[in-house]
Amino acid sequence: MMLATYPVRLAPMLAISARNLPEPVVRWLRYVPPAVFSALVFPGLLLRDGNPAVSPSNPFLWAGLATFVAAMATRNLSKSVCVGIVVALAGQRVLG
Amino acid sequence: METQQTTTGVLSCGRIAPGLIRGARDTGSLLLGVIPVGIAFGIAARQYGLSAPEACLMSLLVFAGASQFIGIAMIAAGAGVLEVAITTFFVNLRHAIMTASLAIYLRGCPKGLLSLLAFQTTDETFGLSITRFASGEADRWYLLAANVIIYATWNATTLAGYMAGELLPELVSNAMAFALPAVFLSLLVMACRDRITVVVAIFSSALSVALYLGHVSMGNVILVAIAGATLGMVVEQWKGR
Repeated sequence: MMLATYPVRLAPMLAISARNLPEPVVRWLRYVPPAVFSALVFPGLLLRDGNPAVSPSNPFLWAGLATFVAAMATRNLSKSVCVGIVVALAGQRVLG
Repeated sequence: METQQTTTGVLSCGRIAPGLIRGARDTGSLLLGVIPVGIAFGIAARQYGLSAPEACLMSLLVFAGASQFIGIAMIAAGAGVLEVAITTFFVNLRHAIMTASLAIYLRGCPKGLLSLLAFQTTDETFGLSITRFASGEADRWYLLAANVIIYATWNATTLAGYMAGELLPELVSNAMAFALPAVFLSLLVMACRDRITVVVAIFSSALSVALYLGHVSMGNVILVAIAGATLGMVVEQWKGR
């Protein structure tokens, strides 16, 4: 498994850090983070076991909303994550 | 903050220490996301019949959350080495695009250090450090500190989960499962620095949900990353200059 995980991480880093990339490529790479974050967050928030769970009984939806508001207000990672977990905990208590 | 700036000038490693310290401090916010997943992996490894050394060795060498979960499930189901390796490769292909993005900030870095940074790259440390690299607050030492802390935590929690994971109350472990989405949601909000990044975020979110609903479960992240970043560049091109 390591032979499948390590080269994937290593090759791009060695290849790209060694040279000056054309400007459009650099600009393209700068749009990667928001796209990657979107891909990592929403399925875990809106889906339960692959089925859409967009209902008020999904505690993670409320926790997500609270995290979003906290992140907008504080722009601080630890604070908004803590807010999210507290609401997730409370939501599970209330919604079961 | 003020005291750090004044003391580091005195140290001979003055250019290394500030990055290490900042990186270590910021990584605290990721721990809440990593600890529960590490414990969950330890529990799962035990349930799937791995020995403690096997579970720890997997975390030490493979060091990839999702792939390790898939790996132990496939091994338990009797999958062959090649099958596991191919699946792992595709699940982890997203890291290629992450290390490529990080690399533009790591020019001139020695190969040995790059090899270590690449080995320990995860979704979480990529997310944290790319946000700080973009605002000029991170350097290679920042990334190293974040990586080493997450690596140590992942391995420690794998062992802890294996030994004592069942002692955790279900309510707590369920709520902790929200920690990782919370980390990426917060990073997403912080990455939305202008109108184009907001457009990229909305488009990418819609696409990733659509892919999951369409039961596309492999290569999603890299697909969304390519589509989203390309849209961002196209909109930027079309909007100006």
